[in-house]
Amino acid sequence: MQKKGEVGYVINSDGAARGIFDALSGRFTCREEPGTRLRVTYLDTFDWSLRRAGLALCGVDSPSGVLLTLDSLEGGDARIARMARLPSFAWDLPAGEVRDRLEPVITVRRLFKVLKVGYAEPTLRIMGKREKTVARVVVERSRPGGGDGPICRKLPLRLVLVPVRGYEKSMRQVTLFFQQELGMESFAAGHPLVMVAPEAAELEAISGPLLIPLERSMRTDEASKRVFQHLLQSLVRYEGGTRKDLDSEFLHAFRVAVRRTRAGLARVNGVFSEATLKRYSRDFSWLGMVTSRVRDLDVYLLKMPEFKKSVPKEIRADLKPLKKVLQQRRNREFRKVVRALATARYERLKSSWTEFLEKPVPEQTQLKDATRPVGQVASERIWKIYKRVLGRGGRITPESPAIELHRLRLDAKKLRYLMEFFRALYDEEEVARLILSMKSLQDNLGDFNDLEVQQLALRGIAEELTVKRRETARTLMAMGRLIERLERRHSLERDRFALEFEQFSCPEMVKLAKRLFGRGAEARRRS
Amino acid sequence: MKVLACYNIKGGVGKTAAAVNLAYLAAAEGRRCLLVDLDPQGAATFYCRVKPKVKGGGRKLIKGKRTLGRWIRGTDFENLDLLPADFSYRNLDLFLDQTKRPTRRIRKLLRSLAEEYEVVYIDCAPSISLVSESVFHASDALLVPTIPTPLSLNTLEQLVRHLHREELDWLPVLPFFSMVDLRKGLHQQTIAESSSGPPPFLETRIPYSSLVEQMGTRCAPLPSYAPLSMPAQAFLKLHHEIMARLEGGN
Repeated sequence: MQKKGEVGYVINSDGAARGIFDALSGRFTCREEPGTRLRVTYLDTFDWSLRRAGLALCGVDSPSGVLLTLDSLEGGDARIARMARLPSFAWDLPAGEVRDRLEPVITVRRLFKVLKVGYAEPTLRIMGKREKTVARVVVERSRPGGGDGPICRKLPLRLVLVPVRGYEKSMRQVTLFFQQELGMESFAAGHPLVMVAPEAAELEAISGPLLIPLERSMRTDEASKRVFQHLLQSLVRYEGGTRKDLDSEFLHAFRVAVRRTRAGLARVNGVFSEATLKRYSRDFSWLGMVTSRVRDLDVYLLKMPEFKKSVPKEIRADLKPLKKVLQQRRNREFRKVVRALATARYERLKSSWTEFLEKPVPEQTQLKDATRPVGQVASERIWKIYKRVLGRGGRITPESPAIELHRLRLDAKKLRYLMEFFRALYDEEEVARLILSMKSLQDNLGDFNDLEVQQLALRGIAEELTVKRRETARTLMAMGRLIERLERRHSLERDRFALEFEQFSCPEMVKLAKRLFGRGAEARRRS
Repeated sequence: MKVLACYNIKGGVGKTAAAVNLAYLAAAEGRRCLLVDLDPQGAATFYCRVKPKVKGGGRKLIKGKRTLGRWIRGTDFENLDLLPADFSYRNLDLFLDQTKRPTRRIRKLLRSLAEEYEVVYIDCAPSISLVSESVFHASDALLVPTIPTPLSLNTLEQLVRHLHREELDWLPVLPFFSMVDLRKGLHQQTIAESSSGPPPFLETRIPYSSLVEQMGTRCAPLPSYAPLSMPAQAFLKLHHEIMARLEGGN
């Protein structure tokens, strides 16, 4: 695996390696030895969570199982763990530093083999006095991990110069030889993972904000199609992992793409025909609906550790039957998702939507906002819904019924999605500030809603469980305690709302929103 | 990080061969391993082909403010590094005596490497001194290669009594029979009578073999040049036995 101080050189062929070995043997005292059977497997999640966090996780087969190393990409900060086989999830690891570092980065995501690197070729030892090895040259051969994992770039055949600690001077002499005598420069990005993972911009696009290059002067229909195309690519990217249920984040990412598409469709009236909007709104709404129940159950299952902690220690075990019921329902609902994704309706949706998006926009159109600059149209629509959120939120008092907060939550969601849809049109720092100012309010409204829904769901399950055995009675009692706890938290979230909304609607943020989207904003930009 | 000291008051019992071979085997299975040669004779350093030199000598090593890392050298083997010996280590007692808490000094120095190494093997000089006290306090276990003779057993008893007097009963003592020649009736008898202790001996016995002595001419660990030989296989078995003990918490 990548060690600190290693230097890599790209070579064209095995013949080139032979030639370099011969050249080195002519200059230094060397000995060639058979290669080791060492094979290193690098792991990462589908969205390259570890690579983006500047970490590398690899496993090496050893007689006692697998030696797992988690290190920074620069090296020198390694943590290790031993296991019988490579892990698929963070929770497969034994308790320890590797798991502690890994869990917050990859959370519930599955680990895939992204790269396999072998060192089976003969090794050249470069020796100093008393035939002491002062550096090693190895041939590194690699191939992508394959399977359901992320797509990797190909790693070239490399010659790697491996330093030996304490012999830095010799290492410098050898690298100088490579440079001056062989005319070879070391490969810029040393770590194999950096070389096979997508480039930084693409990594950012996979998981970062929606930043599709748009010009403010572009036609709104053209700009919208571009954003929709990006969302469709995202949906297709996560479809395979969703079908195979590789981890819960695939379905989540799939649904995010669906939700963003629906939010976009709801806000582009007057840009595309009513018939088009109606058709695709209906179809994406169907897609959202068929996947929604599984996601809800996934969230409950992910929250089980938190639920357990909410009740006294002595009754936590009584919640096990609840987990079993949730899992059974989840499995049942998931089968419905798989069936839905296998339908002709879904295939038609994808193919017709693709066709629609790829069709060039008409030169002439009756649609009043289609040809207008997207900068103007986006700002108008965002500003309209922003004012609605301010107005609705400002009218909520401690006595307002819960339904008002739910309506506000939906409006805030629409606002957020719309800002994200057209995000690329605005100063990134400013729009990020605004989205961040919404986040806390949305978390509050979201939690308020979720806690209510969770209570209802648990009551529903409890009513279905019949008291057949003592264990079930205990489970019902534990669920009762849990529901009580959720109710308390629900109440706290209600109390928090006023403060959250005050922060969201503070004069500074309103001024920022007005500057970005308000009347006159476009004119100010042009001047 | 686990620290294992190869120790015996008697010399010539196979401490260095054990330290070098066990360190090599730990490294070969992927564990990052450091071999520390505290014997001024520098035999382990010689076997690793490294120059027996520590810049600034033992004084700098013990009393200096910098960590040990600057003196560590890579060996010819993946995952195995060496902190070499230096002739000035003959005065290590004196240098230790000049520090605050001399019996804790080596532990403190080694702990600074805890992030870098999983296993540390210390090849100790054959003596009872401040250095050995300091090694005891730094170690997770004491490996005691013992030639199966009554005299060696007597020395082992002295060691155990010494540890008891110094309130070091917490330190696991793992004696194993070394340089065993089963053609000798005395060896057979000693093994039969003493294996169960106290303290109990490890099950693995390392046979006497000229292949082990060849470590001096080849300047390499035995398993690297004769991995299938009987003594190499015995060291491998010993390595597994020790690791099982450490990981089992015994």
